[in-house]
Amino acid sequence: MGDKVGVFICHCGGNISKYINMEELTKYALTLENVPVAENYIFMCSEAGQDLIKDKIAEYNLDRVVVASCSPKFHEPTFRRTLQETGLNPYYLAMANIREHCSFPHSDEPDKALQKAKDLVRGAVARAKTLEPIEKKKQIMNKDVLVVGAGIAGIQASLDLADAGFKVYLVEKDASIGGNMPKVLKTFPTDDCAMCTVSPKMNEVAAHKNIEILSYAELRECNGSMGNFEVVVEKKARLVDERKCVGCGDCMAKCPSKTADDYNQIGQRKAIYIPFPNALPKVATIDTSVCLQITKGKCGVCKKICPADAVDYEQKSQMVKLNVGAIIVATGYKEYDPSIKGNYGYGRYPNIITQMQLARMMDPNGPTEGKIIRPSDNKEPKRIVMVQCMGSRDDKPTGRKYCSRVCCMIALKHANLLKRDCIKDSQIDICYMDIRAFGKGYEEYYQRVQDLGVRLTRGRPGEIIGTDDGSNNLIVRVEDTFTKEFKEIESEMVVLSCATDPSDGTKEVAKVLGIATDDGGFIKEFHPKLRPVDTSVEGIFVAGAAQGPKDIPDAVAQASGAAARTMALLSSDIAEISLDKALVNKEECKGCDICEKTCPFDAITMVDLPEGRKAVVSEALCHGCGMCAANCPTGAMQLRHYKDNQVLAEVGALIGSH
Amino acid sequence: MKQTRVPILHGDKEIPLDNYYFFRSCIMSTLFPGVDCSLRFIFEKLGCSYTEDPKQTCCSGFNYHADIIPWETNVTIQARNFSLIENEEKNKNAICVCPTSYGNIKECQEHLDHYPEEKEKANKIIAKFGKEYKGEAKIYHATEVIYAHREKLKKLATYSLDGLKVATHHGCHYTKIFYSDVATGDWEYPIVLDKIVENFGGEGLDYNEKTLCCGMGFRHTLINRDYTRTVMLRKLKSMKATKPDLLLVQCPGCSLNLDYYQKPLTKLAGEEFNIPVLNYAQLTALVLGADPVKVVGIKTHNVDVMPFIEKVQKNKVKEVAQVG
Repeated sequence: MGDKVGVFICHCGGNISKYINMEELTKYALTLENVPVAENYIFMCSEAGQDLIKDKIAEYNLDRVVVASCSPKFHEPTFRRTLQETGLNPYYLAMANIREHCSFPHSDEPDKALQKAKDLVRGAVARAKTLEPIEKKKQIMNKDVLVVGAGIAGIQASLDLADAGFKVYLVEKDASIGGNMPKVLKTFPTDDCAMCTVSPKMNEVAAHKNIEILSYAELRECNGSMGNFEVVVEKKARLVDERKCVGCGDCMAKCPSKTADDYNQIGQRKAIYIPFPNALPKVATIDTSVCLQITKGKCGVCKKICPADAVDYEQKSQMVKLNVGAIIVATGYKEYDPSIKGNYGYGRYPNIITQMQLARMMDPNGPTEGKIIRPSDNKEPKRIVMVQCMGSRDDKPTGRKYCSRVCCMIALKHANLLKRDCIKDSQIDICYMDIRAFGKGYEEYYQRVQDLGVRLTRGRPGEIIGTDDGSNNLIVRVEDTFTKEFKEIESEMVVLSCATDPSDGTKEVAKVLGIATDDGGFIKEFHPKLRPVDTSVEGIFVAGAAQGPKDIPDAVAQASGAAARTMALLSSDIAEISLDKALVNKEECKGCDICEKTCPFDAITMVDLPEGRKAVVSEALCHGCGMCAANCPTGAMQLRHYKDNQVLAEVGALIGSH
Repeated sequence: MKQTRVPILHGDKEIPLDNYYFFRSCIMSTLFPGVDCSLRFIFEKLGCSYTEDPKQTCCSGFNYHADIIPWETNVTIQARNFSLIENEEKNKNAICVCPTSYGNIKECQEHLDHYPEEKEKANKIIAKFGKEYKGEAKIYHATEVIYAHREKLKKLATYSLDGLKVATHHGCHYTKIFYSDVATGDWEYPIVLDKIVENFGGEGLDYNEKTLCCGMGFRHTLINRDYTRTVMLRKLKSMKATKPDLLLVQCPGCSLNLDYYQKPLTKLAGEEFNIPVLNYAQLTALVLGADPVKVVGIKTHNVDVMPFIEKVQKNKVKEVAQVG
């Protein structure tokens, strides 16, 4: 039990002190039992604030510390470090959140806010007295890194790490690395060729001695913790031997079975395919869902024709076990499926396409060889309408509440390319809510597009319908919110600027790794400002559009950030794992296995010991979430930093006398 | 109680397969009495228990949406209607014939359940004649119920709609107010009527102005008639372009507009439409072998439905067991 608790109250530069009387609160703290000292300061997290805490610990010989300030999410690590520097156990710190839980929500009631702040401080002091020391476990740090997703973000992070001398395993779900960037043809605001930018990077990754690519592979399992993760990657069967295949494409030419082209999103590809000419590794893959040899047991054309004897119908997928010290998730995004919104007609009218489909049409190596054609009659459209915020900034149940950030610039880029290169005499309309041209050089690009005569209508279209004349033309119904007029814009082709959704891989990988996601399904960063590339699990970082919609410069910058954070972590030879995890009191455990079922990380196993069936917690797997402790019917399961007596002490003090 | 699950926007919802309280509609029962007869016919074919309550009053939804009666009156009327449903022994599942009733009474129920003081106020008034709203009534639309019974109805069908093209028009108060409850899930482009047509072998047409208003617009049809007529004209023209054999509607208001005004609009349009109009219950009864005149009630229709019925009757899938 601690009997000398110091209370340190932070003004947060006015965020707290503007609404809560600091002097009153400090005076009150001094009235509490076992509190010999209470101080307030403008920024407790600053160097001077931390020095104040250190001085008072020495002066009063304090054994527990309460900091009343912001959420522990921000500065708990800071103040724990402060305690550690004075020789106190870092877990002798209790925090009272008088900002998010008090001054922010009660800014209009200063008297009540002060009362609540007093209650929170009283509770924290009561809890602080009961805190026990928790040690850290030391392990040898594994210096290898797993990067999941080989889009531009994963590629950048891998190269940064590999250049610094770290061994990188780069896992890609698809047949080729590259992600979405090779598909977009040009990049804004410079109209650089996307393939020319990303292709050398892809080659660099493939040639790098420190990078091992596992393409056509998926992450299946992850155990362990920061410094020592054990992962299992499934290398899916391509039914083609990667070492033998030379990528000649003879098999593709002869294959009789076709299916929808999932890379180009328009047209068809063969059952045996190389997704695009610059694919890497440039080897063929058999799509088992449509291959006649696999589905019907007869064909075998590709095997017969292959000059390298690479086709192997018997090939099986392999489970590859890897040990790594850190993981970077760069699993990217996918386009929102606009057919969910029936009133926009995607999927019902042939001449409504998405921006990604338009980008694929513009590509000279794409399915239409660079020609812009209407799917209904293969004619060149002269009047094109682009519809912004398709599914974005939409609080209807079928929409996404967030802004997808890139679609304004994508539409402007495509309008620019259409007017200048593809169809010079075209009329382009863009229906938008706001044009968000926020990046470097973006606003200037927006101005140039307007100068080209692209018409912009401020309004979100209500629906898109066909015309009755059999022309397969479309009518976009929109209210021009500047003139308050209802407009019907007739067009030959409509392009939808779809919202950005997390990729399927992002959702799956988040589940396998046990990392938190946000409302939209993107990976949640540990702290939006101060730890933007850290995830909820130590040692796992995030980069690129897996964390939220972003353009290429942002994705690359974030990837380098994630690589730098990984290097910082791996620069130490020892991985220190704090043991603030679940703990079983064997005497009270009745072996009911409720905790085993509730544990989201499979960290608990039931073991038959001589004294009976007992729960055993794996320190490597436990995240310290507390689900087991909350569900344990006997109280045998305790979370080390939130033991029942610690929580009850706080609750008792909170509801105790005022 | 027997129930089935029907897909909606997020997941699915339960639809009871029996014990219905037949919540009738003012326009439907007066202008198209064949719809009531058709529903009775369907319920009897399915062997469902149902109540027809002479004490039920008009939901007053038209009046509310046309700004003729105040909201408080509307809510109180519904409290009384709900108390009747709740007093039923077993037929406690209100089946609205009309989308406006459905939207309106569901809205009233949410209001009463959400604001206890409003419920108390309404209960005080209806207590004068010995009634009380407790909050137990369950509300469904008859389209959903027919959709839920689709497999059994297909087995019971005498005729098929094979080769027939049907343009559908959904009621706005069914799809737009409680959009997350729309059966089959798509509320931005509703297709539950099309699903009923497809179930009987017909083709639901995808015409351009499918989601456009029928041209009633409640108060607008009373005070802004020219405008509502132009909307209706646009709707009919777009429909005619796909050459439908039938127009299938969900709502009494839409039936009234799209059936009664086709001929008067001929002059304005400069062309004839002649698209027969039926309600979902009438079409279902017809397919089940009901008498076109005595049950389906086609004599009260303005556009002749007989040409369509003759096409249906050519598609016999089993012997007609009983008519009328």
